Amino acid sequence: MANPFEALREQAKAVWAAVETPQRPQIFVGYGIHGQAAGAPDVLDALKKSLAAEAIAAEVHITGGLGLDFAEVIVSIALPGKPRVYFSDVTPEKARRLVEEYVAAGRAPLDVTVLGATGTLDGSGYADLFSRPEFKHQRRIVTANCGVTDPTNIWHYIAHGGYEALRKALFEMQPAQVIEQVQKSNLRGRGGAAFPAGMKWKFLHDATVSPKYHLCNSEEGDSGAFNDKHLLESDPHRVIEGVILGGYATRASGGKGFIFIRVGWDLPINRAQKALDEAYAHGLLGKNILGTDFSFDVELSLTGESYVSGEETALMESVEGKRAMPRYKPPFPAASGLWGKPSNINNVKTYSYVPSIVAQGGDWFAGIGTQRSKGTALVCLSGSIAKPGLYEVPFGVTLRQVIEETGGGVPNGRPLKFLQTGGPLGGFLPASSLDMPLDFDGMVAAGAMFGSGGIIVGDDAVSVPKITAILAEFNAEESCGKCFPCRVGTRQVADVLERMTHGHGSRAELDAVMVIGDTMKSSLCAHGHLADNPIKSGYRYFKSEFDALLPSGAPASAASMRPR
Amino acid sequence: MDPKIQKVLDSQTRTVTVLSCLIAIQESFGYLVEGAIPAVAQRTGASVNDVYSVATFYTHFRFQPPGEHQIELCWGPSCQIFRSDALMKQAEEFAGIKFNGTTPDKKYTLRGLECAGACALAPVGKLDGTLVGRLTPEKLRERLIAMRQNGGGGHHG
Ligand SMILES: Cc1cc2nc3c(=O)[nH]c(=O)nc-3n(C[C@H](O)[C@H](O)[C@H](O)COP(=O)(O)O)c2cc1C
Repeated sequence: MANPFEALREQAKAVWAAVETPQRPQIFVGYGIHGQAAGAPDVLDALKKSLAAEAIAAEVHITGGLGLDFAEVIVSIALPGKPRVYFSDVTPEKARRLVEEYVAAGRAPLDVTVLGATGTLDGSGYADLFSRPEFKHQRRIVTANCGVTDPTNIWHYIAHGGYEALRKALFEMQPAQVIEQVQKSNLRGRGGAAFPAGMKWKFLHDATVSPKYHLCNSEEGDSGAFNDKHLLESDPHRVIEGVILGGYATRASGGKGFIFIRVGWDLPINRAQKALDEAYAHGLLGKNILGTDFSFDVELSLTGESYVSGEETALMESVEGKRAMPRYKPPFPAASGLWGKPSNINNVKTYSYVPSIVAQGGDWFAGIGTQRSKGTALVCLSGSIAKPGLYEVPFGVTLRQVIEETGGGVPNGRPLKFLQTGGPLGGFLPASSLDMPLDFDGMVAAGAMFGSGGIIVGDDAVSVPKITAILAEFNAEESCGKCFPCRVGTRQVADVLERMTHGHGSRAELDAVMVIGDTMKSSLCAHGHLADNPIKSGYRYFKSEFDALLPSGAPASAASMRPR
Repeated sequence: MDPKIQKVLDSQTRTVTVLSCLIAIQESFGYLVEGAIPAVAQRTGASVNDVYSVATFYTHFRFQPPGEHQIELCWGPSCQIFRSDALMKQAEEFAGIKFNGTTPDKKYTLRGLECAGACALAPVGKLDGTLVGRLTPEKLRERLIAMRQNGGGGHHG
């Protein structure tokens, strides 16, 4: 029997060829969350109007984010016989001129910045987009398609090797062999706790009860992190393929996957839904996937505003429609999870690596990164940084290579003061940590954590106690209230820091906060366990700044309490 | 059951739970309208008490209609580094209310967001559901005036 995937692959090739070596101009608008915040809807509008006014038959696509968020709105244009040229900081006005001068007449307007180009560059006068300094340390595995292909078009994904891993697994591998590759890869969870994914999958594989569930965690409540939403809005099929592979590997035929995301994130939600619909339409989801006896469904599950709903057992409560409060463990999810059935929870990024691991082998993946942190990290840079954005770098690169060489360092000649990593449950690192390699365990040992990948950069004008107070307030607001130590403790910590940053702190209170942190360790989930991380690590590295806020210390001026 | 609520509850395409029903109602009406809680209880077989417990847990649910215009400003640390407090002040002055409230004439709702997910373009706001990055007090003021002139906004946040 001919493999039904062959036909999909052929069609995808044809669709992409018409985009890559086009007969008509191809225009792509960077339209992820950052593109949107930079004005992509208006740019798209202006492009379409100008094309109509000039009576040009061009094809307009959208893409997700390239990661160079500082340069949005990024518009790339491939004219017939020309490379694909990426323009940055495009406004509606610049979009109009790109159409009138470049698309219509082949002359790129001089005042529109060119980031670079891809395709055949010889004699074009354009430099390779990926030779830019922001890409020097990057190794784009899960973000390879981001900003390049249209996330609403399944053919673009398939043309870039998409669903090949699913085909390979279904037709050439037993479930246990897929797990073997994931175990070999040493893939660790990207949602915070860095637990080996293969081990969890093995538990679920061995469970004998059905149906089995896969929960793809895209709650991403961490301030400063946007990589989960980025993947869903830029390359949703990769996430979906990862979840289906999870289903196959764990013998979950007849079961279901849920992609869990907070209501209101319209771009990632709508694109993931569109991608699911397309996958169903082409036999990649549902009954008898690609004609095999493997059946699996995937559905979006929307949650409300609640940070703790991202915690794995609270997430299951939320999918069941209840308050997102953590459950006792054991039983562990692989034994009794969603609706009491065997379940596996992984972060979006974790699932997204699996297609590459299956396609290229666990050993390939294990060859990237450090001894214990394999593969790449999706780093989200924001705060006092010249080129805020999302960068995929192999573990083992130093923070300096990320912050200075990739992100362009602190702007305006100011000195770097701190890195706040891992979200509100993460911590602070001082400027002296720049030579530390990116590594799950190394960063935890230093009192911070890599967590979900957000790094907020602070220069010398940003107050560490003030940022600590903001994070403590977040943790207090977001305690779900189930466990007394966390419910009361997070509030106490936040109140003390609030008083301190307004000049009413005391040494006794500061000492008490450290003890409260220890008592919170008796909470059910890591929200309580880690809620004192910001103050602990902040105080560890910036003690004098906190001490200066105490009445016995030098009086602090009201202005210095401000974040800036 | 109010037929309008019934219609919303019946047109859900995903797994139906207490939470999914509440989300569907708020997405359609902008808030949890009168009759929503018993309707969800009836639809799902949960107790009214349980439905309330869910509706009061997730912080985006509201029992009052939102203002005609939504002004949401990100309050995450990256945005605060870029002085989202100054933006908040600007918005408070414009609407004549305090942070996290609705004007008595129901014209504006002003709210802080924990993180708008566009940290690389901080500070960020959402005006009638449209994300805007790299805000300054001046740019915000211009946008707010334009918003006022544009008339009714959506109730999506
Ligand atoms: C308060 C709290 C919030 C969390 N939020 C998230 C989240 O938004 N996304 C996520 O992937 N993991 C989150 N986690 C971690 C999950 O509990 C879980 O470890 C993770 O989803 C497992 O996936 P992974 O092994 O692929 O990392 C959170 C944990 C806690 C304690």
